[in-house]
Amino acid sequence: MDVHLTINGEAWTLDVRAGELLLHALRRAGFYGVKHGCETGECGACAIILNHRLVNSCTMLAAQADGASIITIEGLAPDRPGARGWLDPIQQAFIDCGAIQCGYCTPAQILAAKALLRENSSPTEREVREALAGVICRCTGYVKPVQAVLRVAALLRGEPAPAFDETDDGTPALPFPSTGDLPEAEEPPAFTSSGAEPTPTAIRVDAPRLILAPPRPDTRVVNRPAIKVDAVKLAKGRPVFTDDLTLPGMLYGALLTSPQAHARIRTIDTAQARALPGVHAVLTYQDVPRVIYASGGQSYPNPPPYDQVSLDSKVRHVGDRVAAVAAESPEIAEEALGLIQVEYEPLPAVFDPLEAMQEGAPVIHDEPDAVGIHDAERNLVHDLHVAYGDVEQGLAEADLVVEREYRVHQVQQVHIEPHVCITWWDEDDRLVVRSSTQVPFHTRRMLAPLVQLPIRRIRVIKPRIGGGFGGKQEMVLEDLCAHLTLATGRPVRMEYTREQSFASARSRHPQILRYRVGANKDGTLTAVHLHIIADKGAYGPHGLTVQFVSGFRGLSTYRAPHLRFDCQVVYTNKPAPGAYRGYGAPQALFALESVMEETALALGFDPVEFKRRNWLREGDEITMAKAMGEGREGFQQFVRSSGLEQCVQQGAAIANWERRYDPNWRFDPARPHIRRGLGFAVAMHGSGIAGLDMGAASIKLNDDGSFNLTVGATDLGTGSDTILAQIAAEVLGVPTEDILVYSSDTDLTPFDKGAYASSTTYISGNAVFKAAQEVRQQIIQHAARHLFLDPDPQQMTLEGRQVWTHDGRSVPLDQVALHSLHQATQHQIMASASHMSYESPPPFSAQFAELEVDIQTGQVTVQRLVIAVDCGTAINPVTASGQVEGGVIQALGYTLCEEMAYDHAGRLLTTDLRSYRVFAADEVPEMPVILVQTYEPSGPYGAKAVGEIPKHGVAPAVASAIFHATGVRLRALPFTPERVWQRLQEAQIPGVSS
Amino acid sequence: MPMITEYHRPDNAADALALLGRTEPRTVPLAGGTWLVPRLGRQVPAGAVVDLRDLGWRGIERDPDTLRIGPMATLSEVAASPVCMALADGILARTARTDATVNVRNQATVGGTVVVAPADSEFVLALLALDAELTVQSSAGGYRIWSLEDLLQAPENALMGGLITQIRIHLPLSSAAGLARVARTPSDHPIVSAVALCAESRWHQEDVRVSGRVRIALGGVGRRPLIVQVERPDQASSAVSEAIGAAGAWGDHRGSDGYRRIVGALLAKRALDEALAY
Ligand SMILES: Cc1cc2nc3c(=O)[nH]c(=O)nc-3n(C[C@H](O)[C@H](O)[C@H](O)COP(=O)(O)OP(=O)(O)OC[C@H]3O[C@@H](n4cnc5c(N)ncnc54)[C@H](O)[C@@H]3O)c2cc1C
Ligand code: FES
Ligand code: FES
Repeated sequence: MDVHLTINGEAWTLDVRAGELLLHALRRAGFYGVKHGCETGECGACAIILNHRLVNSCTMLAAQADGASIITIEGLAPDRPGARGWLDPIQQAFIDCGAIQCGYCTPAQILAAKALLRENSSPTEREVREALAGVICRCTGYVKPVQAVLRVAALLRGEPAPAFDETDDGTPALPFPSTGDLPEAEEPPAFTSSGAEPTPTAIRVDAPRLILAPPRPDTRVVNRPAIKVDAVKLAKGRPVFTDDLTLPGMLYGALLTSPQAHARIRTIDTAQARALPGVHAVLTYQDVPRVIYASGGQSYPNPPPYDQVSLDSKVRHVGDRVAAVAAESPEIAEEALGLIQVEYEPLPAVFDPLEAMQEGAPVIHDEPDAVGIHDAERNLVHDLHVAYGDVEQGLAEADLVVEREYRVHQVQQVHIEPHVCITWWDEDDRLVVRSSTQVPFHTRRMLAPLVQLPIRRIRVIKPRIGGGFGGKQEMVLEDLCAHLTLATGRPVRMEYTREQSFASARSRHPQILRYRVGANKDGTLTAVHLHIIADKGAYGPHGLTVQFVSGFRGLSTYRAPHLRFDCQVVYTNKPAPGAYRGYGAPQALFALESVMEETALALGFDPVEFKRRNWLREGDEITMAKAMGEGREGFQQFVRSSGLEQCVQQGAAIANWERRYDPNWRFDPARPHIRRGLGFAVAMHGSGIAGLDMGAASIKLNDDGSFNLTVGATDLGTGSDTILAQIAAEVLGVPTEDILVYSSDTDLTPFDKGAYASSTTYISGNAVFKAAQEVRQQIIQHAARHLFLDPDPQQMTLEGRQVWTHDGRSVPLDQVALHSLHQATQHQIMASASHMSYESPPPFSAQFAELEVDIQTGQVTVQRLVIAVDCGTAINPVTASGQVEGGVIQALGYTLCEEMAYDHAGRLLTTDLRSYRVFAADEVPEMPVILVQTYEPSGPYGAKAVGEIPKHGVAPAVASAIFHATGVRLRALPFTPERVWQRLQEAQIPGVSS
Repeated sequence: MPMITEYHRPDNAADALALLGRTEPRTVPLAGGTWLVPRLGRQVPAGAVVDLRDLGWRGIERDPDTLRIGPMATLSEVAASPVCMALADGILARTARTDATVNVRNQATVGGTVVVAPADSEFVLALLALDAELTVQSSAGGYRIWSLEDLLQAPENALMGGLITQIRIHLPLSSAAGLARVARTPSDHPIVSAVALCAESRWHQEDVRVSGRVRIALGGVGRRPLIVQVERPDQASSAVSEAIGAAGAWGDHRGSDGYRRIVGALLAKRALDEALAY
């Protein structure tokens, strides 16, 4: 049927099917800025403006929109001849404020702002938050998007907005109206200062405060905010994501998943599905080669176990793979799935790791060809034991031994762009895989045996990624999509639904953590023992390494002469956890920080003071680094830079920590059922995997003095392309816009292990630094030889797009380029370099939480989360603080509301974004970010990592604050109202009953 | 992807009802679509939809005694309606906002919300507290007035292929309302929620004294919303306890049955206290 629409001011007639969603009709018409993130109207990525109002296009039929006027992101500032790249003021503000990370939610957020400002030119912050609340952003924590909308509203009203230029004293200008006068503080405020109440700020969004500890890098591009290199295309909603491409003859893949938690497939009949017109392939375990593999995207050789095959005759969790279909439309593919007849032989299932380890429990991996399972009969994937010193001796010598058990649960990454890939044969009979992956190079290597092609016949292209957070450090559907292309010869596109994103993708490992801590009355630690039982779900990816990180992180922040880690990693019939930002650290640090606070209180110490006595300082050895590594050999490591003390001091001042010591502050006379609390935690992480992670970069000089920088590093929205460009620009004496970054494509860019383990800035950044240094040398050599008389190459510099001699003569880079390419000793100035490090320098953070507990309902409302982070030099303070804000809000979800819940049969109950709650723009707490800069000698320009550290401190700080508020210690995440209420009832504190 | 084969958009109720009366293909009414569209061809096995958009049932009007809401009015229109904002401390406008985000409430209609009536819709609780009535036109053409309370007992039976054509609220002389909830996060849909209404009834104004009444609607305890009506606030507590005691067992991963009952009584009290404070 025909539907008449005005789209972005132009008349359109679309031929649609009766049941076609407006979302699909618009994307089919080429409006790729309208995004898919779910099927149930909950993420808002598909939002458009319809007759002046923001609506979701995924819950509306195209036919319903007949006669309507629609604005998509493409209509805000359409590219016209002579006016390509012009921007709507809202797009400009999002770019300027650093409000765009992965950019997948950005079109909808910008449209939400557009609809708001049309009706209300002077919105309050609350109104802005309400307007954005229907568009979930998983990257930003909403801080900068809200700031962008407030800023553009002011500009559109004709009010002056703060300039973005560098300030007079040369400190980095921050593109935010600063609420304080604190871009730089020489002396930290005293730890327990003032006693004054915090002054309420008019605008709740705080600028990141930069606290600079000497030596400060002498830089022009690095350590300053730079506009993200991909910001314009993302703000304009250009077709840059995997699915923003339709190939001729492309088929649509779909996945049939198991309704059974544990079963053998007795029979599977695909005849009806194959007979359905429009169906081109139906694949089951009978149709694809049985090649055993591990799906985690990790360095060669992939850590064991190898316990998966592309399609199997047995299913091991609800949501497990059963069959794949390729058809001419998504509807036909879905219909075909319904026609596949599967007869299951149900097997007993087990969902609790403690039960799964018992004798007689159902054996989940009884297949004979699995490799590297420690004890398959007992569902024991790994049994790990690492010791440093003698823990039993240390505990025996202690004045006090504290034993506690903590439990952490399963949560999902919830990147708004689902797993998606497109595969096709190219003109050279090579298989092209365009995929939203964090690990293109690992994927190519891991895919090859499954599709039985040599690596050289596979090319993996990673376009922009709509968030990954570790979920895409995994080969989740590339193999199935490739099998469908192999079976049909056609391009095939495959995308997960939101439900599959929960039930058939990866998540965070749940764990039971048991600590035994020995301490002396003087507040020193004698021994720490950590025993973890980890729930591996149905398959093993990342099981070894995540748990090693838990053990390593759980035993590293504090010095103790005796340490031990024991761990059992156990299969259950649940969707397999894998990598999720922070890896095993958020689990371990919730338990570690809690047990340290409990130990301090048991000894009669102030927890902050107790922790301070024991935490690692500059020069200290990170003892478990050598003993543990990450599933393989470790290397001796020392802390060479730490701003932890500064972080605690600065954070405490901003958090008004001294209120913790005022008993009256905890009560609100007007609301007797409310208790207030302040909590504290510290965290330590690493920067890449020592002795293993490698990144490479290649830089070449162009005729006009610009440079191509190609990296295998995969920017998944973090801004890594931008900071890598800044590093190159700094070395080469040019502004960032002269660096043209491309990432990543296994044909075109050098290897990088991918975006994980907080390694990109530190590892890939160092590779870029080295490659740029080499190019710089080549430029100087060429200029010295041909373009100057009597220069001293040793004293030549690159600055302001020129090569300079020591006595002030200069030649522009474009002249060097033209000369070297066309005029004398013609050659291409270019270089590549790789970097690997035996060090993994730790970033540190101090996290403070302020909250209210309703002691009658158990509801916890977090008011403020103050975090101070030492990430070495912040190469780009705006992207760095953006990482921190987004990470903190994800961590708050982990703490309070996110949870994968199951019924008795192992069916996931949380399969959409209503039952699984992630924070929205109108409910996040105030979140000041402080970047305490140190100089890490081994990092590029002194940088360490920042990507994962913000995930660690929130849960323990909130637990600490709940304890402060109520006297009740919560040892199991998440702190949902009923769980808190239950503990309050057990503790029988006064006032809990109404 | 909905696998329906027919989309109709009639401009009069008779045609709409005639289409809905068919058995082949199975035909269902479509309002905003926010609930229905993702379920079409899946949980709702229909082959055709009748879009109610052109029936003109969209107005929000009042006369001295009655507030009339067209079933096709969106939750945004309710939230912005001066009449709704004025009634009972704006409880309808307020709950229309808390029920859904702006992109949903721009599309979701009052009629659709009432039919779907999720146990946790605070807007439905507000309508219940206000003792809303609905007009249902059957496919045979007849009309029937339902109290929302009765309709919610078994919406399928009440509608039977018919259409809600109007939602009506008899306006009290004066009224005050309160809302109390518990949820995982401040804007999450509630685990348990209560709306309380204290009203002075217009129909008694000729009487010697104006009579008052208290209505409390409680969602999240039992599968369907509970409704309690008493004359005086001091009678509320025991009536709420009784209603909670009679409710069937119900819970989910966010809150067990036992928790919901205990917190339900507490929130009913808090909502009433808030209403009384006005
Ligand atoms: C992201 C999101 C968040 C939500 N959050 C909440 C929430 O927090 N709380 C909450 O309670 N709800 C929530 N909802 C559900 C929401 O209330 C319903 O989706 C919505 O109100 C349905 O209205 P609609 O106009 O879109 O109805 P439709 O989806 O078009 O229809 C709903 C049902 O009503 C029938 N119907 C519609 N109009 C009539 C009529 N006039 N006569 C007879 N039958 C009719 C339809 O046939 C269908 O069965 C949410 C929905 C979404 C998408
Ligand atoms: S894709 Fe429409 S709301 Fe998620
Ligand atoms: S920037 Fe919002 S989801 Fe990534």
